Formats: sequence, C-alpha cells, structure tokens
Amino acid sequence: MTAQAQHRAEVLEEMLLDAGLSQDAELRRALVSLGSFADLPIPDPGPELAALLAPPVDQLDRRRKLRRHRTTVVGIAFAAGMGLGATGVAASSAPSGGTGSPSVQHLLEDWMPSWSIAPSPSFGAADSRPPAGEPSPEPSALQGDSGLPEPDPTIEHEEPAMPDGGAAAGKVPDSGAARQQKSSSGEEPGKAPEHAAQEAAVRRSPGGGAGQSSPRAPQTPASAAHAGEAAKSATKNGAAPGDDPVLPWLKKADR
Amino acid sequence: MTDALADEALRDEPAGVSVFSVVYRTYASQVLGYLTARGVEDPEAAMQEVFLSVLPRLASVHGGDAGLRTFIFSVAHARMVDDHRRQSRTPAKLPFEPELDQREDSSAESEALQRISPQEVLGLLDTLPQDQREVLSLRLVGGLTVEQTAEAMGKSGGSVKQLQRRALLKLRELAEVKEYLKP
Repeated sequence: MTAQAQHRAEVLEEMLLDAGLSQDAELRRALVSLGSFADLPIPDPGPELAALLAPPVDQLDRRRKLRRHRTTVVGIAFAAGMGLGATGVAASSAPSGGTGSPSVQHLLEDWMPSWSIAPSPSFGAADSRPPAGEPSPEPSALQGDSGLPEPDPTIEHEEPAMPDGGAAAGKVPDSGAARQQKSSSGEEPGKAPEHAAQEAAVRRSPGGGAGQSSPRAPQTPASAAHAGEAAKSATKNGAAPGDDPVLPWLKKADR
Repeated sequence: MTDALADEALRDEPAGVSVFSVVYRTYASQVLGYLTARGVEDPEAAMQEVFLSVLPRLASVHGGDAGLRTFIFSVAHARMVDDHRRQSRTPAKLPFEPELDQREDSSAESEALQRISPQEVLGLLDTLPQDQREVLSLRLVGGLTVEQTAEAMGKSGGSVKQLQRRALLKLRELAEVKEYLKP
C-alpha cells in the first residue's frame, strides 16, 4: 500500500469513527470504492503542460562554459573597445578643412567681417594700389571711388624737389587727412605743397602738436593751427572708403 | 514550496527531475479522481487546467505538503464549481463507461470493487446533495483533513463535520436499501 493509500485509509477510519459507523462493512466498501478514484492513471500532459513540466536547462554548464572562455571574451571586448576608441578619436580630430555645412556658412555670411568673405571691387582696387610713395598707375580709379576732385598733377611733379618735410609728406600722399584738407580748405592748387608739408610735420609729431615739428620744416604758428584744423576735419569726415579696408566694415557695424 | 517538497514522497524523486514534474506526478491522479467523482464533464482536461494554474504559483505556497495539497484542491474545487455552473447552463451529461475505466487498484480495494463498481459509487454520490458529495470527495479522494476541506470549500470546520456525518448516514441508508433490493 502506497503512502497515499495509507493516508486515505486513515481518513476513512476517522470519518467512520466520527459518524459512529465504523462497524458498517457495506458503507466502508462504498467509501473505499469512492477513494479508489484517486488511483486513476495519469493521462499524458497536453503540449502546454508538457512544456511546463520539461526539466529546466542546466544553468551550471552554461556558466562553466562562460568561465572557461572568460579570458577570450574579455580580450575580444577590450580589443573592440580600443578599436572603437581610436576610430572615434580619429574621426573627431580630423580637420574640417574650413568647410562646414553650406547652410551654416550661408547663415554666418551676414555677420562675419566683410574682409573674410569675397573681396569687394573697391577692396580689390585698394589692394592693387602700389605702396605708398609710388605713383599710382590708375589714379582715375581711386578718384572715382573717393569722389574727390582730381588732384593737380603739378603736386606730384613738385614732390621730389621738396625738402625732408615735403618728402615725408610725400610718403603719405593718399592719406585721407591730406585730401580732406585740400577739399575743405578750398585753396588753390598752387598752395597745396605747403599744406602737405605742414600736414606731414603734424603727423610726425602727433603728441607734441605743431610746436614740436621738425626744425627743417619752416612753419608759422598760423600754418600750424591750420594744419591741426585740417587734421580735425579729416578725422571728423573719415577716410575715403577705398583707402583703408578696415574702416568700411567699422562703418557698417556702427550702422 | 521548499518545505512542501520535504514530504517523503517528494524527497524520493530522482535528481534532475523538475519540481513541477514531481508535483504533477504526486497529485495528478488524486485531482483527476476528485474531478471524476464530482462529475466534471471532461475530468482530464480540467485536471490539466488545474495544474497549469497551480504550477506557476508554487513559489507562493507555504505550509509543506498539507499546504500544497490544500492549495491544489482549492484550485480543483473552483474549477469544478465553474464546470457545474457551465453544465447547468448547457447540460451535456456523459454516461460513465466502465470499459474506459483504467483504474489501478490495490488488493484490498479490488476486493471491495468486486461488489461495488465505480459506476455504482457514482450513482450513490449522485443521490447526495452537492455539499455532502463535495466533502466526501475532498476527504476520501483528495485526502484532505476536515480543516483543509473547510479551507478549500470556504466553510467552517464544524459545518464540514456536519456535512460529512449527514453524507455517511445518507449513504448507509442507500446501501441498506441496495442490499435489501439485491436479488
């Protein structure tokens, strides 16, 4: 008799004793027959139940296998990580070549300094000008840009004959101050060399004023005052746009 | 669940067999017998449904073998009640066929069954009220104690004892009548 059958027999005896019917053989047989239903053969489990009853996968074997190959796995992972890191550094440090996205460049065009974009025609003319002191091969282009009256060609012819002060003035023949002086004073062209010499003297001694100008440049107090006035007016009116490449941009920024 | 497996029958299982399989082989025949005795329409399918519901919840079972047995038959009782409700809506009685009965029995029981067949036992049970029949099935087929039966049925221990006594008295009367009617 199995443990289960033994257990059922004990339950049967207890029930009969509780009811005071332990001597009733017919009732006992009926109850034993009822209890025999617990010995029905077990049917084969269905697919769903069979999957539930399947023995679990041995996790220990899998863990041992992983432990055996741990060094290899870690090595491969390390090499892959190093490779990825090196690739990332190379990609991030690659020079951009100064070319970003066209759309970004288009956006930046509006507020970037003008000289960093394509040079304008006036700047091109300024760049093509010879260094100071040399005669301009195309004086008409400069004059057209500045809108100033055409200088008397006699000035340039007289310049070599000037003393040191005049020579110094000749080194800045295209300065805006000199031109403004000419236009604002409205003097005859014949007096221009004198004023140019005075202007040069003022420029050579900016801190000391007209009184400390070069001794070789003969200067009267009146002419010195005139030169200072001319310098002021030049600063006030500003330089011609074609003379200095920085000033047009500053003017644009002021606006 | 761990203490449930401390039962002698469960500890004898060979190693490498899943806990679910041990529980199934230990209780499946009793659950099937209980559902058959209670007149469930398809006892085998109902038994498998009971274990599909019980096995995933084994981890929450406490109380050793007694707790596991109570839990399993509580689920089986609920499954039986559902089946009876469904049968009351759509009655589809299946006759008991003795040639399909493949029960294995011990020697003492086989002697008793020579005089009272399973079909006759089911006939006797059919004459009992549902509660009395339920108490006899849970106690004799499921092997539950009075307290466990009370817990599975949701009744008190005293009412289970009273139902049990009335059922035995009723069966005794029927057995006497049957004996009297014997040719």
